[in-house]
Amino acid sequence: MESKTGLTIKCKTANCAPDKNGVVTIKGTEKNKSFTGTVNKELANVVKDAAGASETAKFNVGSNMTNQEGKDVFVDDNEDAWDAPRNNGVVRTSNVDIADIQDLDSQTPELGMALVGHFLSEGIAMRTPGANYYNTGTPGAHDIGLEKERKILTEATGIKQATRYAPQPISPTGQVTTAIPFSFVYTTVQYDISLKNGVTVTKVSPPTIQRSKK
Amino acid sequence: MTAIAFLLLVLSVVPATTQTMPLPLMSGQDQEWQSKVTEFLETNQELRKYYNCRFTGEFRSLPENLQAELEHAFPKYKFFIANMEVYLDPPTKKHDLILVTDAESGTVVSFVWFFSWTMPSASFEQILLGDKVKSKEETLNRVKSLAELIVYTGNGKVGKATLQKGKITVEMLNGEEVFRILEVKIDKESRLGRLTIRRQDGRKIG
Repeated sequence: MESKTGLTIKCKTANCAPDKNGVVTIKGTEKNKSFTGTVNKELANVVKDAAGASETAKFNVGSNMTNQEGKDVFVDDNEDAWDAPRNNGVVRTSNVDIADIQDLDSQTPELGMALVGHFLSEGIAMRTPGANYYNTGTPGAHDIGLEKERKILTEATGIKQATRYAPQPISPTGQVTTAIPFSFVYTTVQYDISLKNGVTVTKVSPPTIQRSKK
Repeated sequence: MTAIAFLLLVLSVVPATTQTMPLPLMSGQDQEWQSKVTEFLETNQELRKYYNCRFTGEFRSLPENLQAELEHAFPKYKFFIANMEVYLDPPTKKHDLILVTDAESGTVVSFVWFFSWTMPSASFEQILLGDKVKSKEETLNRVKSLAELIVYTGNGKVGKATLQKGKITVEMLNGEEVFRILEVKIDKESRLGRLTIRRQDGRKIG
């Protein structure tokens, strides 16, 4: 995240090394004045918001995760966390698949940034008192995540992008599995994604999938 | 101040436990109902207003005591829980959809999504409208049984049920926290008003 935001991330431990429990805790951010790379300001703002959030947003970081239905977790499982039983009203800790993020970053860094911004902002929003994950007539945390994702991608591509359109992936047999590729469609670009062997992304521009008219 | 704490993952995979089955109805009339319900689930646009979803072809059975409670409380309706596949972020997830059907014709009159969403159809607020009730107890039991049905589709339980100043409220809890509230007014002639589902912050859902 430092290489995309120009921020130095400050942790509880030196060099952000895991503590004795394997925990890495970010406690703040600081502008790196000697940074010479390209800063995505939208992502930087999300990271600063996350680091300064009064709500504690925690993420378990792992690789090749599966959810309760045995399906691959793609990037994060905020949605499952929202639906899970609560202890004293607290939404359980979300899981983040770092291998997915690394795969995205190596192939389509702009999409990787956008999806990181999505789960960070969504994770904070869904833990805000009175929040909802879903749209219940008013936008929920997921909608907030989608909007951040759109803004980060807009900045990264230099072209205003529409909110992600994602048609439901259905196999010829009607069964939906993570082996079935899925697509994220924006205004000028479409990402066809497969989770068969890690994350494989094919970038298509202009998009070949038309948005449905609702 | 902060904080995003990154914890190392010790992941345990929990097998899916949802019990689904074909609609447990087999008489001629019931088969007609099944096709009506299925057609509704496959074509209704209100269902797809906010969520990208499709019917899996399966229904979830209700516990006998809850079924009996609902039949007693709502003789003019039959309730079903359809298993829907919903796609917001990958992968797709399976969620319950509560269907309220007319007990005479089998026509779907209303629906409400599972407990975590509790997003109702526009017609849901009318399912009790104008019904005359005989006692405070009957009123509370009707709304409570509806709350029982909703929490059955999630990790919830029914909390406090009260009737005060012509308004019935039934809490639905997630853990110990009030997560949703069912609310209905009752007039001086003991007729029920519109049914409202409120969020934990008091805002109306839908």
